[in-house]
Amino acid sequence: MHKLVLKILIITALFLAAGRVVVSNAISTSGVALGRINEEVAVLKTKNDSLKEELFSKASLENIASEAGKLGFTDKKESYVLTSPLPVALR
Amino acid sequence: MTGRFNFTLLFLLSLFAVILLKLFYWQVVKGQELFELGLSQYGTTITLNPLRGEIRTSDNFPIAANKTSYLVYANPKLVKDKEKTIKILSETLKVNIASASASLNKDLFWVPIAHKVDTKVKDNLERLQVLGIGFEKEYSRFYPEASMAAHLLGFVGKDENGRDKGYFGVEGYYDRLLRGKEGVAVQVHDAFGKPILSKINPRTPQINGSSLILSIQRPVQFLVEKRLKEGIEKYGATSGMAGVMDPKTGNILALASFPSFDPKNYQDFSADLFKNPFVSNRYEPGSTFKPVVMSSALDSGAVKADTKCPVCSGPVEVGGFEIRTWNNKYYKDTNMVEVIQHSDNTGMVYISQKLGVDKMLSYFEKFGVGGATGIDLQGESVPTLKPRNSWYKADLATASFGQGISVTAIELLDAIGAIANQGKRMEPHIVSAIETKDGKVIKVEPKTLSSPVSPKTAKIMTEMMVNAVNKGEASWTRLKGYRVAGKTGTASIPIQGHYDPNSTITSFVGFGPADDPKFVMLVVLNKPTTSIYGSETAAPIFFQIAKDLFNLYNIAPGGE
Repeated sequence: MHKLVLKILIITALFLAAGRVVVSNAISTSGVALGRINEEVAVLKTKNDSLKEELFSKASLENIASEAGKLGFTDKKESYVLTSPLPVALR
Repeated sequence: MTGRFNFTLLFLLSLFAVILLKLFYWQVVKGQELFELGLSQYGTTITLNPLRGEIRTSDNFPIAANKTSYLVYANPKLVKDKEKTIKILSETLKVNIASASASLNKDLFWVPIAHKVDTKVKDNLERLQVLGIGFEKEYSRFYPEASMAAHLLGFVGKDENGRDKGYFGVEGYYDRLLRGKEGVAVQVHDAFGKPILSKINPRTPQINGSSLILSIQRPVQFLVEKRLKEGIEKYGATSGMAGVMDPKTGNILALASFPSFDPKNYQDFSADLFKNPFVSNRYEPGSTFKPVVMSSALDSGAVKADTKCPVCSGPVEVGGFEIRTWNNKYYKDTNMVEVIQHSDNTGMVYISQKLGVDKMLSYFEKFGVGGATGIDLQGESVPTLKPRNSWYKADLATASFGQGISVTAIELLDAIGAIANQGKRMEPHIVSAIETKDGKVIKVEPKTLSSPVSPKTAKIMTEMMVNAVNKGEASWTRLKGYRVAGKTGTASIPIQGHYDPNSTITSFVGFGPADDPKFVMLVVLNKPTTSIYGSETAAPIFFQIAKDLFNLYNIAPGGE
């Protein structure tokens, strides 16, 4: 009985060791890919930062006012106001 | 036999004890020192800089953000052609030739060449593939709205250790929150002592700074700056400032002053420009101070709105000084409403005499005059009042019309805000919420500082100020159809013990719509040249901004 258990344990250990070798072999080149992905993430982050910067500059009121001025928009002198609200419906 | 066993046992135990003690010495007593020594053999400790928090306006738009920039460094031992490298560095980075040369001639593996280098410049330099030159990512401040709200923001400079530090404005006041916490990492070296850049092992990670969400409304700030700038030019003033506050919460909606500076290139400007005059400069407020004194007198019962002034038919003599009205016109038996309408100094002298020094000082304290408002900006000045026993009759009289007493603009704005807010004075503040690095938003709740006058007094004072706008000397510039409460101010400037006869500080303070105020605003011009009066300089700017605000808030006309 004891011998059988011992055999099973040894066989399991051998299988696990072999499995580890196979898995290690399979993922041994993934580090390069991971490094490449990390680099790509860093580049995209930097690009995202610079796009954000551009977006904020374009969305700034200073920029909008200057663009509006170039397009010929001016301050409105008077506002039109409806002094009494119109009824929703008339009977 | 037993003796020998015992001796051997004792000997072995002593030996173990010695080993244990030695191990304790190396691992516990000397542990940290040896750890550092070991560390120094394979690497050096470097600081990881945290990302500074953003500053955003109420619409969540970042007016002070971070942008990627680079630290350009050199390894002098790898640089082959030093002269050529120095030339390239000085041309692309605009660094001094002498300093680049000194850096490259150092017997080191790593020397910094330039900080906060733009991505485009870095890309250009990188394309040249200069041997021995490397780049490290860092962040620098970026201002999408350029110099908008510069006084309010402050700027980011360096401290004595070369680390980023906020100075003035919000950057200065909230520096600890914005800057976060530095981290520490180990830069691993190779066998020759050269740093392996990919081998940085963080020991304690950096903690990024919290972001601030301001109460500043970007369109309001933009409009106020635009109108103020136009006004300063139009009226030939040397400087000017304007502040807009929500009287119900104390939220500052806009704060502007000119001349200003560019926070990105702060080093190109005089240090005198960095202080925010709205919170740091003291000035004599002149007639804009009258509503504070008048509401004190009304609240204490010293006078009523229809009380007639028995001394207003001519100049009044107080403590050996003759006090006149601004235009030398006098109104016999004028009432308190007309005193404010005509900005009558003699009427104010009468009120101050009825009120007395003790009551006046007590009301000043409740209005926050002579104390800090507690605004969350660096550099708030606290103009203290004279001690009680130094108040003479003439001081009491001149203080009633805002001369011989100095305040900061924020102090006056907050005091008038109390009248607009049914007698409750709120703490003015710029930051309405703090966003922590993990996205948690902590709101800053409005805080009531005091209740200087009753709601009834505030209502009477409001009506007096509406009457002053509609019938006073600034009525020509008022907005028809809107009920705006306001008061002009023309103050003499004290210089070396007397008043400057040629120049004034002109101002206008008010709020609108008078029945449900959305804003309280103060406009101050320093030494305007086209006119010396507030009604002809500061008042038109005030009403131009008020018109913009009514349009912005969709408030339709419908009153007087």
